[in-house]
Amino acid sequence: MTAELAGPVAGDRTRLAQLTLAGLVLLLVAAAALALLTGASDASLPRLLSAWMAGATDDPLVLRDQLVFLDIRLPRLLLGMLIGAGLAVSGVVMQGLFRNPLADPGLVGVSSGASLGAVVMIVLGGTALAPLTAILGIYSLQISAFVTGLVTTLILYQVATRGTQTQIATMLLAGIAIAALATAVMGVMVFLASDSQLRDFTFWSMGSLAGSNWQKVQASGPIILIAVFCCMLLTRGLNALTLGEATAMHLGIPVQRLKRIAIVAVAAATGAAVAVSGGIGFIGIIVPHLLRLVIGPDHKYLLPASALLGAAFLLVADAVARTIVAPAELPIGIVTAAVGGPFFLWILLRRRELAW
Amino acid sequence: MVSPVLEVRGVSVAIERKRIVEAVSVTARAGEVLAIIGPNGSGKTTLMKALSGELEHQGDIALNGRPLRTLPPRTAATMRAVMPQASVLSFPFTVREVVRLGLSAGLGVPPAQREAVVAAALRRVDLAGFSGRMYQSLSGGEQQRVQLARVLCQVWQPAFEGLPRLLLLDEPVSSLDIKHQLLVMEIARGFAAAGGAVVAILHDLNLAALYADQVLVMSEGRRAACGAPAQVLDIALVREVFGCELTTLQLPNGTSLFAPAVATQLAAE
Repeated sequence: MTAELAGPVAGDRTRLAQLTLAGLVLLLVAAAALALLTGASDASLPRLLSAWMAGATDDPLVLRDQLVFLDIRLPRLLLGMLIGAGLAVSGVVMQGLFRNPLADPGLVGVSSGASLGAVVMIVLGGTALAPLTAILGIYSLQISAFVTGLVTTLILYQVATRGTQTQIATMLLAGIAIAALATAVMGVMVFLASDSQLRDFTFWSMGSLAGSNWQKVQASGPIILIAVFCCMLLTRGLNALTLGEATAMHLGIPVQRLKRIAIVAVAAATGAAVAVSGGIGFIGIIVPHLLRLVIGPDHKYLLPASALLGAAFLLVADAVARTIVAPAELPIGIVTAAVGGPFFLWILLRRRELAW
Repeated sequence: MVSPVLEVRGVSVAIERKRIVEAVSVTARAGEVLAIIGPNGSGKTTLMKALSGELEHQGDIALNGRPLRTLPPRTAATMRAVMPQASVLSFPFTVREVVRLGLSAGLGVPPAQREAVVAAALRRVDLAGFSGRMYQSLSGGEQQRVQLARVLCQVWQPAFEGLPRLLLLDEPVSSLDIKHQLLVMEIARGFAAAGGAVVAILHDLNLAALYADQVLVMSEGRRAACGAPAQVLDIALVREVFGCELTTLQLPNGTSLFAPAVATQLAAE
């Protein structure tokens, strides 16, 4: 089937990739509509639109609808898309960088590292770190998550890479160690936290888009957008890196610079995502893996396709999280983990058969 | 005198403070195939890695007259391509996609011609029907030829903007059957004949004798000898460097080939 769809030259998956991209755009539009139109409230978009048309905006029902759509669902929609895209693209870049399809910011501890920075800022931001909060303003959570995420990625890369080889076992074990360390420090923070901080923190640590607002969009949005944009520029380098660092260098890629940009971009995207939504796992591994099965590993298409599918996936997962136990809400991290855990096991089984 | 494509002057390479290559000098010229031979551990691959820019070196290496150290990766990639001993892919690319990575160096192949260049490279390495196959599903020898096709795409014209290009081949025939060993050596000769330069590590002394213009014999990290095959591939030197009993067989045209000494004993019995 692949051969028929693949265009005139055997082994050319360009057409297939372009069709997939077009399909993903439609999917994202559909997911966005779903996200906008579903929710615990009975707010109605047609009612709001017709009220706007008629200029009748002082009706309390319309005002409520306006609040639901413009100040609750729209920022949540945007954050969902940005975070989904950011996490999926981070997954692609980490996998390309570590030359391993199992590398994922969540699995190898980058998210834990970023969470640590965010938690420290949540608990100490008003007291011990108050001067820092004053300087960083609305970005303080994002920046502290970015910094600890970056440090984690660098440690991970140093530990897991010997020469030009990345040891996947070492990397996963290092991820466990880093996660354990982060959990320990977070335990101390929990101990120090007030009751309200504790409730926020518990919900946040399971991953959630609840509490999305325009300020969070403003704080994390630009960081994720810039990071994703930088990742898109790494196409040629990541493709060449598939053949190994030495060959990438022979193909004219400035490998050290590529690695630096990739690590900073991944830490920025993951940090900014974690800062607003907490630990949403598995997107960075499910999305790129599925897409590689369909369109192949060419980063020219894999990166944008992952951004689109990651965004759509998170919107759908969030719609499920918001409605499945309505009017209460499930943390979205539980939804992605429920899908991602089995999926990860499936990848492991398949890899055992295919030996890659 | 043809100007040198690759000029190596007193090059030493150390790995973890241990000198692996010691003061080697050699010159590769356009139109020539330079074979590097020597026993295991004599520093051939380490020298190759220095020539490709992968390992740091002491001494001077110049590519088309420019010091290798100062060449940005992108510029170096327009002047030389490197075929490693083996390549393990981290993701499932098709053969065509791997070969196109050679073009991704973006070295003046017009977009309209790219597909034709890829197809020609695959035909050249006798993999014409393979473009849709997954790289990982191929045999070691087939993978090696895919890599050669990729490298040929990178230096698709043996001379580019008036400068000869260099092919560095690290044991290019190590996994190949005899037919494809000869094919690869013919490709190397063809590249040189079209104005490029080739440096290849070989283990087969006879392939070196038959296809090389110049042979560099490495022994314990040093240059043991260097020159035309007829002068350098001397039975006494080869016995000493490789430490084994060999004999020579004379072809009617005067070329001598090497055979294990046991061959003459068997013939005598």
